[in-house]
Amino acid sequence: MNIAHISSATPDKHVLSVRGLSKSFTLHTQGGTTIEAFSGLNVDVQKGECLALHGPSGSGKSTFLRSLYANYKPCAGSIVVSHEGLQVDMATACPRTVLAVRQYTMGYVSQFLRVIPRVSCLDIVAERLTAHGENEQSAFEAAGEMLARLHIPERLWKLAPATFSGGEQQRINIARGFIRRYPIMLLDEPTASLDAVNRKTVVALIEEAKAVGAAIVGIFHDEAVRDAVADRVFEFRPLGQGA
Amino acid sequence: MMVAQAAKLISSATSTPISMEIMLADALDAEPALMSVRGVTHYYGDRCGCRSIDLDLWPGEVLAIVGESGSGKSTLLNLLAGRFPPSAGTIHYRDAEGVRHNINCLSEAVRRRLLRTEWGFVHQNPRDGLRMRVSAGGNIGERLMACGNRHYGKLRGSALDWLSRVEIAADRIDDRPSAYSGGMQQRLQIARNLVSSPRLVFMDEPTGGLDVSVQAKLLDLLRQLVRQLNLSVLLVTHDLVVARLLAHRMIVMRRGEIVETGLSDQVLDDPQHAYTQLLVSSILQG
Repeated sequence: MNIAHISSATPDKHVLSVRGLSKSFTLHTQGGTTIEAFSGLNVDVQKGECLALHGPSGSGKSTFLRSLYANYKPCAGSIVVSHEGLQVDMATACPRTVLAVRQYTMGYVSQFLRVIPRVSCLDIVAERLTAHGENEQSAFEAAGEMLARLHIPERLWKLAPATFSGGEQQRINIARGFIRRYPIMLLDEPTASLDAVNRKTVVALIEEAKAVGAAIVGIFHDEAVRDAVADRVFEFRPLGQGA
Repeated sequence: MMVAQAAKLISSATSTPISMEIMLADALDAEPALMSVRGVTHYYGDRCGCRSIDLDLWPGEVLAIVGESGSGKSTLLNLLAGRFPPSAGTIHYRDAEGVRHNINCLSEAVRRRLLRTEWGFVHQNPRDGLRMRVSAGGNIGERLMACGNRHYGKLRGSALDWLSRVEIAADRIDDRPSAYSGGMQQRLQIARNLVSSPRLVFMDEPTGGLDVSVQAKLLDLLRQLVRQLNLSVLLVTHDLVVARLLAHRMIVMRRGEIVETGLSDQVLDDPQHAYTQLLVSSILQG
């Protein structure tokens, strides 16, 4: 249903343009130590393309992904995204604009599931649809289909995921991320704790999203998954070892 | 949050290599704020309660005011709710008809209308917000009667509907709140506030006195109601986890001043100010 959003975007084929992006953390409670995550990054991503972020642990990949989502505040540079036919800079947009971009344009699958305790997984997944005005019944049906596709047994649907295994929680997170089609998807190790069967499902979900024009930026430690979905690889190196 | 459609276009003012022709969208003037606060300062004698507070609250937005006890957050909430006048500064509220009021210069009639029909106030202690000697149904109906409803059958119908929405069994309608558990009292207080469909609700530590299992359920309920009713909420809490789960934006206060403000998840995951970093680093990891 959001294909319209994608095709009505600006003539510019890039839906995401990053220029001169820098991020460092100043730890005031620890003597004002500054940790530089990355600096001066430039990258463009177009519709239907999957960009894989690659590099050793600690090289700033997750920090970069979180900066794109405005979960982290970049120190310099811009992140311009096509949002409802407009160009929005996530690095400087006001909070309400960022929330609108997250609601309609940019989805994010984090490494960990963070939800209100005691809410059932069916509710967690369906909420993404009801929040957009979809009626409860069709939202629950779609949520159920997505959970079934990710092999979450139906007897767990009415339970809250707090007691689930890491892999099950991860799949709830993926179901929630993919239940809507966002023009831009950010994926932080979506297959990290999954078995081979579920990895295949996630690869299929990513392929389907690309096929309808979604731009994807992801961290995939699993080489087979990366080879299957990535069109391009963006290398991260720890700072101090040359960029 | 349909701000983007009506978003104002502003030219790129960034110093980045992006072409200057690119138009960047922002939502600053897309719709008028529900409440606008400028330079609000309050002194208790010569002790400062809060100082130079500027903030805006938009329709449908949940704004959390966080900080340690004594940081001035409850003072600020009470000032914004018009419970006492600030020593300096202005607080404007835009009512359902689009009329802008300075809430410290209201006529008594307008003030009462706002308090009864457009605003709600949820206290930390339900005893402060409920009438303990009146039945649960009466607590809900009373608020509707204050808005001019007199039909007994309709009042009882609304009371039953709201009891079920806050998950209180219908057969408890004639019990007094004193016979309720703390969690039920808090849900009843919320029902009493929301039955008249307010536009703006002030909440002072709404989950503060509850044990954690009740708190989780109440958080879920509040989040659903806020969305269904498109409520704006000013939420005071010292609990950063509650703020993350409920609020779109947050304001961090220390010694009566705002030290940091922004998107809830950004403030908590990438705090910029030393004090916010201290608060965040003090959260217990479960």
